[in-house]
Amino acid sequence: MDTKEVQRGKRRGWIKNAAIIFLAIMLVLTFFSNTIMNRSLPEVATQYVSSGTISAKIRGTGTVTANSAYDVKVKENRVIKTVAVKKGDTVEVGDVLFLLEEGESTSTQELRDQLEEAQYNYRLLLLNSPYINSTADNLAVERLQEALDKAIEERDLSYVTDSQIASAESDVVDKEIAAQIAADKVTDIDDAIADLNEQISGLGGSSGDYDLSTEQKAVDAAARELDAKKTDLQSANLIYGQTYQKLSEVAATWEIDRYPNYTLEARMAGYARMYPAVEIDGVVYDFATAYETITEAQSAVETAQIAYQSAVEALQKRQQELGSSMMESAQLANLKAQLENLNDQKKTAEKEKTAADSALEDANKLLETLNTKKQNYKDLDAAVQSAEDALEDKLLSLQDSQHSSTVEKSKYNLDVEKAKKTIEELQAKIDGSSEEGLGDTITSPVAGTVTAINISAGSTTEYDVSLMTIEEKDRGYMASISVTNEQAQKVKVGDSAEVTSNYWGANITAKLATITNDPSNPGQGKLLNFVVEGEVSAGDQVNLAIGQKSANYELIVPNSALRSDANGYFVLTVQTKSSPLGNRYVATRVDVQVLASDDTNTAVSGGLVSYDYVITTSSAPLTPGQLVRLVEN
Amino acid sequence: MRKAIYMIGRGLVFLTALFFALVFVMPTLLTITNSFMSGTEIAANYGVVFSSLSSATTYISDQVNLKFIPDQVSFSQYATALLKSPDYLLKFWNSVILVLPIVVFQVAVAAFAAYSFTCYRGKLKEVLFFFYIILMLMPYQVTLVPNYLVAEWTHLLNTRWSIILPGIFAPFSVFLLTKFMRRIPVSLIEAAKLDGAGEWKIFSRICIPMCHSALYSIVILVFIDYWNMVEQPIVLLSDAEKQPLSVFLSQINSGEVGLAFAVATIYMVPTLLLFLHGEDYLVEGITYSGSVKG
Repeated sequence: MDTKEVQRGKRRGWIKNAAIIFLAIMLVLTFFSNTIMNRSLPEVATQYVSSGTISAKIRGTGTVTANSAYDVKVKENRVIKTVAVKKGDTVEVGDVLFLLEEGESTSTQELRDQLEEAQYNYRLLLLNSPYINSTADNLAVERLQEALDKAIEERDLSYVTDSQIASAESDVVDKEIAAQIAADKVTDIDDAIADLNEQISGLGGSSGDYDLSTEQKAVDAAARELDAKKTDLQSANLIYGQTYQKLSEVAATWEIDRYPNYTLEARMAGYARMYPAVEIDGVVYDFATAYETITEAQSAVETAQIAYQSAVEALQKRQQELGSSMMESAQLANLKAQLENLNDQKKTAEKEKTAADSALEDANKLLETLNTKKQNYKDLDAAVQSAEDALEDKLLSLQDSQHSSTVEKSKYNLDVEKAKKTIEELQAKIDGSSEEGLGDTITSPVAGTVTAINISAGSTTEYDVSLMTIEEKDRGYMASISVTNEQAQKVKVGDSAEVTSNYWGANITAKLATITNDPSNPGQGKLLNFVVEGEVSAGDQVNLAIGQKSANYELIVPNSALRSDANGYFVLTVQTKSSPLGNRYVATRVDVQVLASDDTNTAVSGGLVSYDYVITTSSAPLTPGQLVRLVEN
Repeated sequence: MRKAIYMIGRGLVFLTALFFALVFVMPTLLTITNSFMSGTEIAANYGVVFSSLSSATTYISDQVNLKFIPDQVSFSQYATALLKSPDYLLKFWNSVILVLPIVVFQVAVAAFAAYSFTCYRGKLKEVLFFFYIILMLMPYQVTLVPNYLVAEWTHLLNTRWSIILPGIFAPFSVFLLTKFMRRIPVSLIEAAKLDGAGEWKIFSRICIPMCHSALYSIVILVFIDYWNMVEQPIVLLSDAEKQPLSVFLSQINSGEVGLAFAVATIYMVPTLLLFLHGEDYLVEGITYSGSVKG
């Protein structure tokens, strides 16, 4: 075998190995190919096409509107001081909505100005009467005019507004409160002073005698007595020692031969027993006497000691009593200082009370003055009216006395009538305005919820323009949805609707009240009008779903299976294709038409059969014809 | 002077050969290099070719852009073909399942037939051999309709047997092997007979070993022929899942443009390996077959 053949053999061996490896790899890849491919396919969940009943629902979104909304309006031009409520607040009848700046309505003021202008014009007209042509008449008219002017001037001086009186009344109330506070303060201080005085009097019962000399003298006497007794005891001790010495000397030699082993004490005792003091010489007697003396001296010392101890204890007790009295004295000084301070406060409070009482008196006077003025104004107004009447009567009497039928005079009469009518009208308006006066607040005439505030603080109200909108309570809410005529035929008035709102947990119910033509889609659509009850307010968006009558359908698919595009609705079914490597599942598009639907299912018609699987969910977007993988259960 | 003319002539021949070699190699080279392009790049370069297949798809370039070097080397085609497309692997194994029986049994049948044509000569056999040659010369399309009818009559239509059975009895290999066997000296066979060898021993111990180069050539040629078949599967196998990968390659549509080059490259690997393995035998077998007198 030559070299070439060897090389050729090697090459063939290498190629053979390569071929084996290639086929082995292809085999392994084929084995795992299904697994790998399936991993990359979108996973889908499927469901059978079923048949059954669908209770279709008509759905729509409507805006809640109130059945009754009250617009708060005024007929005066007043400046808003404060808006007392905010949007969404619940108000009751009589609750304050707005606080107004003090002062009369600008419109009333304008009316009053107009009235004055009219009255002035009227008088001017009367003065320029063509009937007045004599000096006497002129004089009489002038006097009457002057009287009228004076009456008007006096009346205007007495002019007070209701708001001024209200303000004065409010001021009186404030002053009363201030005076009451000042009086209470004085009373409180008086009570405190009385309390302090009681405490001081309690402390003042203890004696002011701080003398310890008696006790001290007793102690000193007892001490001296004790010392004397101690001296006596010492003297007795000395005598006793001497007698003892003598007795011991005699006893030491007594019958020493007979009792050589006796101690001194035994010898002395024996000696004394053997020789009673009376019978023998004075040694034993002296000893006995000295013994008695010393015993007595010791007893006297003990007695003196007890007496001294008693004297010392008496002194200490007295000293303690004296210390307690000193503390009470300090407390007393402190209480007196407090008392003094309270007295100062009382003076200040009394001054304040006096000032408050004075201010209250002033305020009452002012109020009284204003009320008097108001009353006077009416009287003076009546006087003005009388003066005007007098002037008018005078002028009319002049007219009557001077018969004339000229056109000018007729015209003049008409002008006079017109001017009088104008004055009466203006007066009536002013009277009406005064009767309907707002005061300082605008209150709520109805109970409900504030839904809109159309004016802000600082702005001026306008005549009969809405300031605020209040939804009245217990008057209900409405909501409407637009549907087709066909849908409208499938529901009836009185049907209940399911309601969902943006607020989770809100308890809302709705009932179909009326079915009306939809003005935005005439002839083609209807409006379903629902009465909405529950936790809603005007402006809320609610989703309404009302059920149609139930019907049976052959092909029902889950809502999640229904898809749509520009060509309409369709579902994706799973078509199975068998292959040597297993089943392949292909998503296939089937166009359908929607017949009815409810919350979960949709009835369709189209190229479906009852045993088809429809894809409900998938792990990735699907396109028709795409291979899919069935979800593992 | 003569030498110079000779050298120039040689040079021209070389250049001509080089030109044709490049022309022949270019498709293969193009296939291999383009298999490393991404699907997007393939669509951009060759999409216009497939635009007529799918009116829904539009391509960036409106002309074919032959490129050998990818903008960005990508193995996405291979990953898709080998990992995410069981169908292509299935078709590969379809090719294997179809071709292997054909090659094995065709070589076996051809060996027996060639032996009989070689050892038992007579007028009838010559006539028969002539028909073999005629049949071999006929284009496949001519016999396609009879094949289809026979397959339907035998209920083999749309089964792999409708491909395999006609393949087993194909005349080309019989012709080639007969020509090769007739080159074996008759004296050699007669000597074996004198030594007491039977027909099977002569066939298996003398003829086959002497024809192994021709047999290898036949294996290679038949493998290549059937590995690349398109018409038979299309006509006889209506079920696409039974069709070999060669049919898929001939039917690449717009949706699979990005895979075409990688699948083609993978598909040429077995043929290439087989050719490299038996390259020497192929040359030898064809050469001897062509030079032997009948």
